Amino acid sequence: MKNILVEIIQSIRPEIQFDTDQDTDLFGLLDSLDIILLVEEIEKQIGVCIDADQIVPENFASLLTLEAFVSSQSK
Amino acid sequence: MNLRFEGARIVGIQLVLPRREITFDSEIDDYSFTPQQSAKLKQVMGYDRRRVVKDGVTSSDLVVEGIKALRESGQLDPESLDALIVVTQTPDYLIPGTSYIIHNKLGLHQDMLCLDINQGCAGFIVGLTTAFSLLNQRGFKRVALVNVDVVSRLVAEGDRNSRPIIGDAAAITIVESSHLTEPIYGNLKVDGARWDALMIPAGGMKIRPSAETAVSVADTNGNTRALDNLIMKGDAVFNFVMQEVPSMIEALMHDNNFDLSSVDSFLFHQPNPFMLRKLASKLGVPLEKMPIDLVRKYGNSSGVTIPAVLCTEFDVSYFRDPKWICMAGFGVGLTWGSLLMQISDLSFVNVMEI
Repeated sequence: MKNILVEIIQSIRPEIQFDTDQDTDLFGLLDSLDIILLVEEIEKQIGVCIDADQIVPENFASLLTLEAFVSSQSK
Repeated sequence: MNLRFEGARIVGIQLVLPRREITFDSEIDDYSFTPQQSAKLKQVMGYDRRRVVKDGVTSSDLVVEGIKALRESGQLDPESLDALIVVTQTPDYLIPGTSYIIHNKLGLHQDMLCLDINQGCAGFIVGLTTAFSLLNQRGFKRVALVNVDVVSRLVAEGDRNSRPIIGDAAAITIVESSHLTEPIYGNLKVDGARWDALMIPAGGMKIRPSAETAVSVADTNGNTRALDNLIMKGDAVFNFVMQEVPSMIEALMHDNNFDLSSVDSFLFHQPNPFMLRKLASKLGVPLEKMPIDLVRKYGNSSGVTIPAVLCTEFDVSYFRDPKWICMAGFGVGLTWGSLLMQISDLSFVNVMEI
């Protein structure tokens, strides 16, 4: 899951670097356009549905929080 | 706050679009998107075509042409108007209000009220609410509600978040008193604490326009803007819409014992197709009942988008039988409001280009 998310994020913002051993802070790096593209790609590639009220900063704050959120949606 | 009006109806709506069309493809070099991002944004956000005025064209120019056309076609006698409400964020002058400029250009009679309201994307809801309130007074029988914005003139060329979707337009909605209509339900909310989520910092009395306020500065997300330009905190506005709009519509239905499935059409402000698709999904509204693609064809014209959707998606035949319409506006202020009303037997639904 984490690798897919990294690929998706880097397809949107190639300049964001990820450290495989640590969490990566996304807060402040992704603007609203990036989040929109991210949601679209997650829904398309991972097959989950993200509701309007789930697109909140808490769920997109870092790679780990995003991974936890997307995993919870795919269960 | 919850609202309820009686004895008012919409008679007709005239949409005025600038003939000048700008495409995203023609401006793509102004932004810092990769080709892959551009393709996705076209698909997801509706970055495609938008209508904008030529240099020097003002809000009153659009409106005057629209009302003249209504007069010439016999669809409106301007002498019958008791009030002219102009909702705009782009007035011709700081003083006087644009309603007076329009009043002068059209040579309207003196026995009426001119009123200017500074509102954006909730402007159709705020404007209709004001018009319905006036119609509760005996002296007001017919009101022209004007929504108009030429925000394209205030958006920075390097603003990749806003400029690709900003369009200009005007809508003239004629509202009159009537004894034959169903009640009109609504709600309206404001959170002034978020006043700076959508703003133009310079140009008013707080920061006067100057050479300094015209200097463009780049932000961390690749946008370049000056203090003279529209600044939208995209994240804040996005979160606001996703959090507040679904609950507002649910409250509108619940508080008035109305079933969402009984609504014939949902005419929401048009920020972009993505947000509207998410709102429809959250509310459980089928997309056949909620147009979402105005931005892709004409751009986001702030308070004009709701009447613009009505005029471009429907004609008078759709309203021959009464239709329950749910409208929602949300934006600057921050303000969010909705109306649930029956619309029927419209005299005109026009789209004109100038």
